[in-house]
Amino acid sequence: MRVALLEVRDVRVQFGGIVALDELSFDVDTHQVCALIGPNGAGKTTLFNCVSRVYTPTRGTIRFLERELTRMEPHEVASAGVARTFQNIALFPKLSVLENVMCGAHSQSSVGPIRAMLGLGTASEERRLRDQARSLLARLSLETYADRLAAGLPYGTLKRIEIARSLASAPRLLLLDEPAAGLTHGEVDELAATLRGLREEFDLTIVLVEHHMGMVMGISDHVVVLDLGRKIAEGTPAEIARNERVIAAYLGTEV
Amino acid sequence: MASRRKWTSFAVAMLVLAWLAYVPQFYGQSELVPWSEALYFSIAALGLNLLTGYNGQISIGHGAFFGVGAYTTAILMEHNAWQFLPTLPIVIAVALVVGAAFGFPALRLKGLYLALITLGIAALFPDLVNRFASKYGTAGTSLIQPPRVLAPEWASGFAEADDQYRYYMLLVVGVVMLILAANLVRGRFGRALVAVRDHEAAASTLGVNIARVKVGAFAISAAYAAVAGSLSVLVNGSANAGKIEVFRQSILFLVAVVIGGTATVAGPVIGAYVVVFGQDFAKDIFDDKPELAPAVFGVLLVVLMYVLPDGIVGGWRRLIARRSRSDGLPPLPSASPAH
Ligand SMILES: Nc1ncnc2c1ncn2[C@@H]1O[C@H](COP(=O)(O)OP(=O)(O)O)[C@@H](O)[C@H]1O
Ligand SMILES: [Mg+2]
Repeated sequence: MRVALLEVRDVRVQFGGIVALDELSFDVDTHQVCALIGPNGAGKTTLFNCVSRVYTPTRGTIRFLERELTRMEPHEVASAGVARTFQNIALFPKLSVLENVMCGAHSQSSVGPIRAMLGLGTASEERRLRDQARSLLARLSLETYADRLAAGLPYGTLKRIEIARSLASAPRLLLLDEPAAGLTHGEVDELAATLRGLREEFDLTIVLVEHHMGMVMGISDHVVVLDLGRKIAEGTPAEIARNERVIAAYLGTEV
Repeated sequence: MASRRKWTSFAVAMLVLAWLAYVPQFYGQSELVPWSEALYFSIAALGLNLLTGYNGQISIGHGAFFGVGAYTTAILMEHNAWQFLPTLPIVIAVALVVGAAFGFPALRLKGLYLALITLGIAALFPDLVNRFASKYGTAGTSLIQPPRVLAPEWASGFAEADDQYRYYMLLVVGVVMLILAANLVRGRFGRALVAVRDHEAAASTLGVNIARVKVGAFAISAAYAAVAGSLSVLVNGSANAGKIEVFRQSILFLVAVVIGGTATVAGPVIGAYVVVFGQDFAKDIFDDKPELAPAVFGVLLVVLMYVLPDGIVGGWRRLIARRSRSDGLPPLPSASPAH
């Protein structure tokens, strides 16, 4: 039997009276782009928060590479191979763009405070992290921003910086929360091409939350549709585009 | 460009260091006291800046950690006949443990609540000391006056007087503590401090162990305050924990950090000198009415914060940024915490 990279099983998340996710199950296979779509409030970000251990599901399990993510501490998820971006940009505004990306590599280094204070072998380690961050910035055409503060740059640029930062942890699985929000049409196409390239280059599996249907249909191998915390459909983009329930609940006239 | 700035900062630091090394030759014994105070104040402010400036955890209780250092050194010297320097590792170890012990409950608190709780530490500390240290102190009080550190024979070339020698000890420890702090904030741990301050969820997603970083910051900053307290014994010849004094010190450390510039390496040191000499200055203005000094000092602080809301270093950086813009060069980041 083939084993999925990410296995979401019967996940339920409850906030007081609100059921944000209800009996949600789906698999993401290695090297797939899996889109997670649904109207606002469907529970997409909540699922990301469960995978990255910001939240703990009320019930259910999430397995990644056959390891139980729900049993990990939040900071252990990065070194397990999961990285994400945030729907509302979550860069560190007082750090430079380069330092933000270097932060992304936190799990890839182990210099603790004592070694840092004494400066034992830290110079070469810093150089390694800086070089790696620079090449990631270059890969996403961001090298001109390296020494700028992460605050106050255009929205689309910030979104790409967040992608660069998430790649710095050398992830197997990348969770992208609405990366195309606020981008122009041209930028959306560019982003889709970039993501396709990154998947090949870094051998990534991607879960993509996105409202931009053109991008979703163009880039994904698999689509999971949520509505009010429940999965209402899943399948290939073509199947989803034909699905009556999806059209009724969500897509309307968009496709 | 960036490297030119680095060399400029280095040159300025060397000039300042040369001046500070010259101070004991230039000033007499009584005038040397505030210079010595400013040194240990700088160390406490450096440590508090790691916690409050870089990591965003406010503490108005570091006067207590300062006291822990002062008492540890004083008791070891007075009752165990230790030399001064060997007490420092003990002071650091004790403060790391005590600091971590306070760092854990602080994990559940933020902002004003944390400020209030740490204020409580400063308020309780003198009572604790009175209970436990009075068996060591003079006439059943908590005042401990260990033997003074005297200038050894070999130092007679540069420090004939004991207070000169003690000043140089402070200066050396201070420079070491500054270098350690600068190293710390420059690398991975320093970035983690800032990341946790500015976005906890993002930081933990990147693999930062929030609890470890926050407790670590508390412990390290407590150790800085304690080393400062330890050195204060060198200057004042005593350890004491007056209720008002612990409280006042706790606030002045925070003032030094904010006035100098939070989350900058040089800021807290500059702030410490402003706090120490600003109070002297305030005393001198109406020297027939000493009760006015705190008010004058307060006005000085208000004016400083009004003119330089992001502290002296922050203001300096804005000035440089404006100058380089008018040179037609691209703008520098207005404040980067890591250098
Ligand atoms: N921390 C929280 N506390 C209470 N309710 C929440 C919390 N996070 C999400 N929710 C609720 O869960 C539901 C799903 O939200 P979310 O996952 O953000 O949706 P989506 O990302 O699909 O737009 C919404 O009703 C939202 O209000
Ligand atoms: Mg969302």
